[in-house]
Amino acid sequence: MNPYFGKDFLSFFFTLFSRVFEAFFKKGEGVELVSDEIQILVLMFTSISCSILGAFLILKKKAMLANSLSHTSLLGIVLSYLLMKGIFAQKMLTFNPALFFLASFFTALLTIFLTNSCKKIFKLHEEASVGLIFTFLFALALLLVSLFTKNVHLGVEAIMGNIDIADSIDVKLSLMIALINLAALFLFFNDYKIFCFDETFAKIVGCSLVFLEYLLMIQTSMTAIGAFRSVGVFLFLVFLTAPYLAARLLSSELKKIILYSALISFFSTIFSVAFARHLLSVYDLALSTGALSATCVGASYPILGSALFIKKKILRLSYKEKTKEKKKEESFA
Amino acid sequence: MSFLELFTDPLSRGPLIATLFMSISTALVGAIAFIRKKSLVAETLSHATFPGVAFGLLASFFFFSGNDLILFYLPLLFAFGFAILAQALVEKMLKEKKSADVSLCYILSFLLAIGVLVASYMQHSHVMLFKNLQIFFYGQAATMHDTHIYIYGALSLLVALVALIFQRAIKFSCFDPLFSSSVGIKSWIMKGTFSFLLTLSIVIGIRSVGVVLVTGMMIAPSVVARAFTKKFSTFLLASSLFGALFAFLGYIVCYLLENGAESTYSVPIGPAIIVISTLVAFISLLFAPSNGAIIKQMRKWRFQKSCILENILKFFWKTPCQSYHLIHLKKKQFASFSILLFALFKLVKQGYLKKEGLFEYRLTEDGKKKAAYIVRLHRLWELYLIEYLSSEVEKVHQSAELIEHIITPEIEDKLTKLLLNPKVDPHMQPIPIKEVL
Repeated sequence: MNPYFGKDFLSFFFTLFSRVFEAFFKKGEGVELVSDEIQILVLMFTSISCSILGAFLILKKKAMLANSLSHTSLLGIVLSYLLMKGIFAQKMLTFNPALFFLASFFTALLTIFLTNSCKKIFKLHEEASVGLIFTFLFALALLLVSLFTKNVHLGVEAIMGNIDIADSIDVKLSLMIALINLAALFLFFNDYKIFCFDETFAKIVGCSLVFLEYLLMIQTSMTAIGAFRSVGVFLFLVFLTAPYLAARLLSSELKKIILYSALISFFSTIFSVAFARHLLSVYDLALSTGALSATCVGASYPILGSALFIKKKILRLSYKEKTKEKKKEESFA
Repeated sequence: MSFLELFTDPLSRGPLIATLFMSISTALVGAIAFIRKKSLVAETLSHATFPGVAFGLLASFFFFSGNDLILFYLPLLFAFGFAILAQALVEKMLKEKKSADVSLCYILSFLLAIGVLVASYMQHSHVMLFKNLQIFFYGQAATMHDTHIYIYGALSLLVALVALIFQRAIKFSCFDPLFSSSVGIKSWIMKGTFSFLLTLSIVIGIRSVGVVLVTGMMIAPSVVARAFTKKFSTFLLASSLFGALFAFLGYIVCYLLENGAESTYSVPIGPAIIVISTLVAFISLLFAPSNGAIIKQMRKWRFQKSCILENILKFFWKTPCQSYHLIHLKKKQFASFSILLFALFKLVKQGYLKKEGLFEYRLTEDGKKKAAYIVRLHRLWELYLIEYLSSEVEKVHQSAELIEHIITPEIEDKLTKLLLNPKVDPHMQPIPIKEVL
C-alpha cells in the first residue's frame, strides 16, 4: 500500500519526512521503498550525474554532441541487445551490467569516432558532421528495431522514459552511474578543468585530450542510457543544460556551479514529484512524473533568471529612492 | 506492379507523392542551412514543433470539438508558431552571450519536455488525440492520403518559390555578408527569410518522418550535392533532386520489403530514406570525382609513386653501366622494401630497367633517356632559379629535387627557350640534351 496515496502537496512532504525519520531510527524493520520514493531517488541520482557532466559538456561546447549521443544511445542499446541475444540467448531486456556497459561504450565510441572522422577526413563542418552521423545511427536503430521486432513504431516510452514504473533496479543503476560520475569528478577534476578552459595548457601539462574527450563522452552515454528507462534519453538533456544555466547566474566558479546545479535540479525534482502526486490526488490529473520533473528543471533557469532580474530592479529602485531622499534632505539643509 | 503505377494507385500515391514533395523542400532548405552552417538549428526547431502539435491538437479538440479539417490544419499552425517561438528564444539566449550550442540544446530539450508533459496528459484523457500526436513523433508516411498531397504540395511549392525569388540574395548573404549589406540587402530580411523557409520545411516534414528524424532529411542530400558541385544554384537544384531521389528509393525499399515474396517486414519510410541517403552521402564523400577522400588519396599515392620511380632512375643514371642489387638499393632509402620491389617491377615492365639475375637490375637505353630527361629538368630548374629569381647556388638543389617531378614538357620547352638552350648548370655539370623518348 502506497502511503502517499491521496496526499496533497504539503502532506506529501510530511509523509516523506516521517518515513525518512522512521527508516533512520528503526533500522531493523527495513522500510520498503514505494514508487514515489523510488522516483525521488532515481531523479536525484540522475540529476547529480547530469549536473556534473553538464558543466563540462557546456563549457566544452559539446551540448549538441550530447544531444547526438542521446539519439544514438538507442543504437547502442539495440546492438548490444542483439549481441547479448546472440551470445547468451537472453530474451528480456532486463537490467544487466554487462549489457549496460556494452551499450554505453558502443554508443560513445561509435558516435564520437564517426563524427570526428567525418570532420577530419571529409572536411565537413562540425554541425553537418554531428547532424549527419546521429540521424544516420538513430534511423539505423529504428530500422533494426522494426526489422527484429516486426513492430513499425517504437512506443513513445522508449524515447520518453516512464519513471512511473521504475523499480529498485533503476535506483541501483542510477546510484551506480552517479557514483561513477562522482569518482570521475574527484579523480579528473583538474584535468577536466584545464581541458575545458585551456587546451594548449592541458597539452603542455601532459593531459591526454583524446582520453579525456572519450571519457567524458562515455560518461555521458552511460548517463543517457541510465536515464533511458526513467526520464528518457531526450529529457535527460534538460537535466544537463538547465541546472548549469541557472547555477551560472549564481556563481562563476566551476566547483560552485556544479554544486549549485546539483542542488537546483535536486530541489526541482523533489518539488515535481510532490507536485505530480498533488495533481493526481487533488485534481485527478495523471501526468508523467518524468516529464513534469524535466519541465520543472527546465523552468528553473527562466524562473531564477527573472527572479534575479526583479531583485536587481527593486534594488535599483530603492537605491534611487534613497538617493532622492538624501538629495531632498540635503536641499532642505 | 510497375513503379509508375505506384504514382497512380490510390493507396500508394498519397505516401509516395507527399513524401517526395516533403523531401524536395527539406533538402532545398537543408542545402541553404548547410551553407550557412546552421544544420543543427533544424534539430532544435523540429523538436520544438512537438509541443506545438500537442497544443494544436488539444486546442482543436476543446475549441472546435474535434472538427476533422481543423484537426488537420491547427496542429501545423501551432507547430509553425512554436518553431518561430523557439527561434526567438534562441536569439534571446544568444543575446545574453550564451553559446549557440547550449542555447540550442536547452531550448530543444525544454520545449520537448513541455511537449511530453502535454502528451502524458493526453495519454490518459484523450487517447485518440494521443494517437494523432504519436504520428507526428516518429512520422507515419504510410497513412497519408490525397489531402496531404495537396497541402504538402502547396507548401513545398511555396518553399521552392521563395527560395527561387531570393536565390541571389541568399547566395550573397551566405558567402559575403558585408557585400550583401553594401548592395542593399537587409540582413534581417535574409535572416527572416531563412528562418521562415526552415520553419516551413520542418512543419512540412514532421508528418511523414517525424520530429525526431526530420533533421536527417536535410543534411544528407546537401552533403551529396556538395561533393559533386561547387556552383550555388546547381548545388541547390542538385540537393533537392537528390532529396527526391532518396525519398523515392526509400519508398521503393519499404514497398519491396513489405510486399516481398519470402517474408514481409513492415519498415517505416523515414528511417529507410535517411539510412539510404546517408550511405550514399558516405559513398559520394569517398568517391566524388573532384574531392572524394579516396580519390584525393589515390592522386597523392600516384604522385608519390612516380616520384619514387624517377628517383630510382636518377640513381641508376649516375653509373649507367653498372647493375645494382636490391639490397644495395634498399640502403639508399628510396622507400620501404615492399614498395621498392613494386617500383622495380613497375620499372622493368615499363622497359626502363632490365633484370640481370635474381634482384639484379641494369638501366636500358629507354631508361637512360628517361633518366637523362629528369636530370635535365632538375638542372634547368636550378639554372632558372639562379638566373631569374637570383637564388643562392647552395639552396637551389632542394627546390629542384621537388620540382623535377612536376615540370611538364611544355614548361620544359619554355624554360629551354628562356634560358637560351643552356649546356651547363650552376654546379658546372653538363645538362643532358633533349632526346626523343
